[in-house]
Amino acid sequence: MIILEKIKKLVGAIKFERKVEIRRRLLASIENQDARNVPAVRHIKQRSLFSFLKPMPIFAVLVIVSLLGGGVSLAAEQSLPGDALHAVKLNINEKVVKALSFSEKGKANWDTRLAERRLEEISELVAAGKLSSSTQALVEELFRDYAEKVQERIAKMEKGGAVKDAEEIASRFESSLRAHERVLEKFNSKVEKLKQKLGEAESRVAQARKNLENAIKSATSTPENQSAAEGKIKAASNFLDSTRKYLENRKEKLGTGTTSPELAEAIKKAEEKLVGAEKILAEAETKLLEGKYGEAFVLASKSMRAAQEARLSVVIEMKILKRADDHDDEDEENENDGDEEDDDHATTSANILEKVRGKGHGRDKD
Amino acid sequence: MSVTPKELFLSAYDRYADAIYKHCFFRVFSRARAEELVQEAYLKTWQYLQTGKIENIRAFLYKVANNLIVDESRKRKGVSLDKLIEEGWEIAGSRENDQRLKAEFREVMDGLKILKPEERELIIMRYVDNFGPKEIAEITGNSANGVSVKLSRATEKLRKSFNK
Repeated sequence: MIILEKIKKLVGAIKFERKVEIRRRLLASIENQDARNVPAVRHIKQRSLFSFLKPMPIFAVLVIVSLLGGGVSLAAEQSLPGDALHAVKLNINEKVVKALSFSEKGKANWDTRLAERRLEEISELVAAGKLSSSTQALVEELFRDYAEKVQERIAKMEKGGAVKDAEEIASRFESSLRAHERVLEKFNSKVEKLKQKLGEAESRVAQARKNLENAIKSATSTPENQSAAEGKIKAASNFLDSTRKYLENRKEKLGTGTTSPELAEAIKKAEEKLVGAEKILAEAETKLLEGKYGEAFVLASKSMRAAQEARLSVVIEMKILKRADDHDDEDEENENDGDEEDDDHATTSANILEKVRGKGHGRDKD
Repeated sequence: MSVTPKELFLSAYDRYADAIYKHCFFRVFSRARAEELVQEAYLKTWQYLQTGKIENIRAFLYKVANNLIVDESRKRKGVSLDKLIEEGWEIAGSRENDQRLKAEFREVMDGLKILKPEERELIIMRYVDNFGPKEIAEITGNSANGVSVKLSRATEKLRKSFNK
């Protein structure tokens, strides 16, 4: 295999500066003793409330974060729009993770998560009784931006020939939007505008996904496409299994913990949806045996989408329940302090909105 | 004086990062993704080092990288050769328009493309990473005999493709 010897030389080693960068990043993570929250060393433009750090690389920001202590960043993760720490969540935590993603797919995945996080926040805000008009405006604005960014990434991936990756992102985002849409239904008119934006994003993403699937369906029967279909079916099957276990687990806990009719209902609906997902997966397997790899891939993706939606609707319901519980506890403790709450949140979030908008959040060129 | 996990880990990075990157590149055909995979593989290894002992850190790193790649590579679309050459070119660090090297690169990538992902995995481990069948078996979790049989089949397939 002389030819492979040649190619070894051709490919060469990892670029020196990238190797050093990854090493520094790993080292920072070791020193923080928390490998799950890896700090990034990538030079991203830090346009944020922390704009005084602008000329510094993100590594410097991380040193500051570690000086502050991981606790701030952790506490910020739990914050909601309107909380003081929400700025840390948006401008440090989320941007650090973003800087960790090099590939287009990695970036698209994270932008999807960011849009989802904003939707989760809205539901949690309602549950916590903290939804003011300005926090709502902030979240709506952020959601719209991230959702657009995801769509741009999907289009870019498609253009670059990564059709299956683009379809995966679109499919996941669509299932998430649908799960959130269902949850928002019960909040009635409170979040009308967001529901509208969500609906618009959903139909655009669904359209993009359908176009991508048409391209995949027409794919020829190459070993590469066979492997892709097999891989997708396996991934869907694993996801369905883990969702089934998750739902069983939740159901067991229903009897023991806080009883919520909404949660019980969500679990019941999720189980029904999962049965549907299993049927679709069986169809995908049949298509695979028939050698129709493109169709098998698309069906496996559909099955996964249904399972994702099922699982997410329960996950969101759990989060809402937790916030509502926290809110009840707070109410008991501060029975007389509630009146000024909305105004306080309005001021903080208006400031954040102004700063975040003004500094072009989530629009870093990377 | 015994080596601390941190020292062991960093020295494993300095010694094997290039090789693991090369392995990942051949599997996913993307420079950026290969870099991400190197980072992910080392992070997972570090997490493991916190709780357990690793006998052979090199094999362990390959095992983690391999697990990360398996799902990924199966999902990926057929590789665009032109894009790949462009990227491979950049990786090779060659600034001159060397047609001969470019042709060789194309030849190898064309050859690899006809292999199934699992066959490519074996070929890369054997001829790029220079692992023996026993080590490959350890990393992939298969039997050494099985690896040998599949490897010779894949090698033959590749040889035929080069001799066309």
